[in-house]
Amino acid sequence: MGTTMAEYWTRDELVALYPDGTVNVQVDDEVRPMTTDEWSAWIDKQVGQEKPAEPDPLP
Amino acid sequence: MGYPYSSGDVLTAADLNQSSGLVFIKSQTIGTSVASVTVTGAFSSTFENYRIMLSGGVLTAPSDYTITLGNSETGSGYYGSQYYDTYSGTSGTARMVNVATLRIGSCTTFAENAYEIIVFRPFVADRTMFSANGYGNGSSIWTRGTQASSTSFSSFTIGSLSHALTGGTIRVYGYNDG
Repeated sequence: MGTTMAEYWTRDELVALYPDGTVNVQVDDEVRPMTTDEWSAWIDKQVGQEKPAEPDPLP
Repeated sequence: MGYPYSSGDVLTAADLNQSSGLVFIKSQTIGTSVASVTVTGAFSSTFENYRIMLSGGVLTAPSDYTITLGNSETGSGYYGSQYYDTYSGTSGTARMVNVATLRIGSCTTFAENAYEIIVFRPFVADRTMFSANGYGNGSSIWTRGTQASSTSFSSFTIGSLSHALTGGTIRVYGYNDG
């Protein structure tokens, strides 16, 4: 039986998935776009996180 | 007058107060593509322990929901363990040692994620303990942990290890201290 290599998120992939200006922060009912500095730090936090497998949805 | 009540009983405010086990505090709808949601005014001296229900939401890609005491997604001093078991047959553990947030459990891209989080003593200026159970991304999850500080917290922030949250509702209840 073969083994599956784990995959990890790269910064380029995350930036493509979440362009600057498309991610928000929320406090109670107030939702606002992240500043560029906030967005960059949020992207950096996720770099290297493992990509888990998506399970098949139950019928 | 105590429980059980009988037909015709006239209940006072004191009767109702002592008969309320879980007391609804507030709910918060999660917006679209949010990195984190802070719920203020959740904890106070009214209750020592709380239950947070998190359901109906999704992430842009599979990851774990997280909870952090206070107004930021990033804190410190979180310790704990998580056990997971997937219906497809895999299982494992994840341990948190002095990390920035507590992992609640897996969340996927379709609305099949639901968690209950009991928070012990968040408003007390002492350690806060957590007990979380739920299901998400094909996994049954059990998480226990602590925030090892003497800080009193009145708010908490729901986030994720990675990816953005969309939709769902956070509901906060207090356990009647009697």
